[in-house]
Amino acid sequence: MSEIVFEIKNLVKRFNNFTAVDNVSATIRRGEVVFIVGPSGSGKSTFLRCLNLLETPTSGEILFKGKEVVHAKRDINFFRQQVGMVFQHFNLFPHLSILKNITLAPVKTGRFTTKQAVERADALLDRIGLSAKRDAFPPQLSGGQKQRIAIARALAMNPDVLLFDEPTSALDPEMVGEVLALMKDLAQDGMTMVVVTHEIGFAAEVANRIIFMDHGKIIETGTPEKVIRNSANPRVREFFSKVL
Amino acid sequence: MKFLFSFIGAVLMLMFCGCEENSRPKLVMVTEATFPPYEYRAGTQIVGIDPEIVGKIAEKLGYDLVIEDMSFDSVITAVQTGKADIAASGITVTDERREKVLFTLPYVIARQVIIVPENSAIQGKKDLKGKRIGVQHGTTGDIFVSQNIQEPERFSNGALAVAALAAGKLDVVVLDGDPARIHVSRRSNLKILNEPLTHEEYAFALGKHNPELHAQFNAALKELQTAGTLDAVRDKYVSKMLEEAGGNASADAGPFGKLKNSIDLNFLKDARYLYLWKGFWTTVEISFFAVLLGVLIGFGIAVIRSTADQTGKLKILNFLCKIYLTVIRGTPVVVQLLIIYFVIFGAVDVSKVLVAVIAFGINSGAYVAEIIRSGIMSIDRGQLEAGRSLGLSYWQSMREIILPQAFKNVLPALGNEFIVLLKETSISGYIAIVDLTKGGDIIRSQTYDAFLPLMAVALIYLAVVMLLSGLLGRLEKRLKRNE
Repeated sequence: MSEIVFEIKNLVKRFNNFTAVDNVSATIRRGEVVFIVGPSGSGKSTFLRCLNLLETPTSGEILFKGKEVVHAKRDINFFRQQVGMVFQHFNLFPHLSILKNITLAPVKTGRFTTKQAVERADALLDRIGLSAKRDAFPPQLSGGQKQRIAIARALAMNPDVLLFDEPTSALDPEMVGEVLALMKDLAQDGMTMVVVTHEIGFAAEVANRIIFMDHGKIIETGTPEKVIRNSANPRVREFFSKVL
Repeated sequence: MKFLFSFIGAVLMLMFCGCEENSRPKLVMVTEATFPPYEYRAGTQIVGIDPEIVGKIAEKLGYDLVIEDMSFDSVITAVQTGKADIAASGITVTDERREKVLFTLPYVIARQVIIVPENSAIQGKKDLKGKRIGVQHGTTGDIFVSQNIQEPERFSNGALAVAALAAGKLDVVVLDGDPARIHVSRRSNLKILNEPLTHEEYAFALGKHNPELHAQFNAALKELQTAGTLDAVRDKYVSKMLEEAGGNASADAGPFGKLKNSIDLNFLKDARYLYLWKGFWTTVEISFFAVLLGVLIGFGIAVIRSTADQTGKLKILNFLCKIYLTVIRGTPVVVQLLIIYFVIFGAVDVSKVLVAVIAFGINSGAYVAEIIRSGIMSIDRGQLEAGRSLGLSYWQSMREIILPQAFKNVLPALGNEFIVLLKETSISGYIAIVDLTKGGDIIRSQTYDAFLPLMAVALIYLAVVMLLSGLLGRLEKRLKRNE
């Protein structure tokens, strides 16, 4: 079995009196493509945001490549440099050119020199077919193009794992395909990915493993075949019968 | 930012080092040079009865005389706080003032006279009750009318009060006898009543901490009096003013000729346009550096405040910032300027322009801080999250991602704040800085003409503001290009 990237133990995230993530434990290994699915409000996005500490867990442990990160205040920036994140609303920097969007973090964090960062950015732009937009600005791009740039921006840091928080939910239907195609491409390349999505068909096609969450808890985990088609849990069966 | 700091530092150094070396001790005299013939400006110099007498005494005692021009309200405070050695500004001896300063022997017995329109029914003191009475703020006329008759209308200088009387806005003006004669000689429709309102003694004021200098001064003053020098000086200036006033009144011409004469008198004679020109540059200097200081303070505070709001850290700093914002936004800028000059820098000899830059900078910083904070708040939270998720630190995200966007969003509001600041510097005259407004005041005090100097000052401010708005508009367009 390959190296463990994330090991999550008894993770709890509470907002005031509401428990969004309730005692979740899970393991993500290198090269795995894990999809987290479940009804709205089941805590899957909060769980994902805890993984790079955009939300500070109330209790529990997160080990990244064997090291505890929840309380590692000083190393939080270095930890995040190794964990890429793709947001529902892209969050590109509108005041910077596409090239600058991609090279800003690699250069400012000292992970790459300016020359290396620009070379990597050009290679990534070529790979996602948006070299022509190199000097354009985010407001001039379509939604699908923006999300592909956002993925390239995360990849430019050369992370160990990519987190996707509903990457296609804010897109017009005709733009979903190009983003999913890129994600599939990444998965086949062996990228470690954790994806929160409502695209169940896509999950069935690409995921190595599915985690089903409800009311902040993991209810079931396993291969797509097992969780989506043959679950023994009536709550899971009911969910998939409605969305498929 | 670093460049800005070192640039400002260098300029402040220059301001501090403006003073020159000299072997003889200095005697600093304060006055409001808008009170001819006692003190007024001729070219770049302050002249008149007071400067000449104090000059003669300083010479006798072996001092180099330095004259500073400030608002009359402030001259007593200046000697009281040790900012100056002697106040000589046609100051009347009163009991209240005696409590604060040491007065020399009187050098002039002056009359407060009543000026009325030629056709006025007012005969004397008994007719004043219920009339619209104009006075110069803080003068004996002001005190006497307030205590014995009623609340007067207070003008910052005599020329304005007389102009208001001539325009029918007042029934009567109470002024010092000598300047009153000059004002009236320049206008055909005014007269001075024979019966003076009150008599008073003029004396110089020294700080109570300085009894030795006071004794020396009195001795020297006595000598001058015995030698007849005091009367000679007074006669010289009064007759000079009367002559000049007569010369102006005789110039009679058509409406264009009048305008031309007026322009000659206000701007060309004695190179008076130089007051506006130099004042303009002082205004620009103060505004420019105050804007820089304000933006630095504003950015700093905005970042501290929004960091505290978003992360719950920096609680103590945030609390201090809140106090700063409350105090600065809750008090008038003129009060802040006077406090910084008289209280905070009370015992230190600092360039007044520097004091103004600090006062206006600190004031503007509070407004800039809230403008920029609103800009930071307007940026979507996802921007900060995106920066942090890429491993940038909070400060890196702030600098590279949040602040550039916030700045762009608030540029119109910032531009407005800069324009307000530019115009607010017009109160610099309170601490005796000759800025554009004060330059216009000085011309008015010399020519007794309110219209042209005020119009010129207004037009210059307007031109600068229009230029500034134009530049900001272009910058805004450039930043918007990418959207």
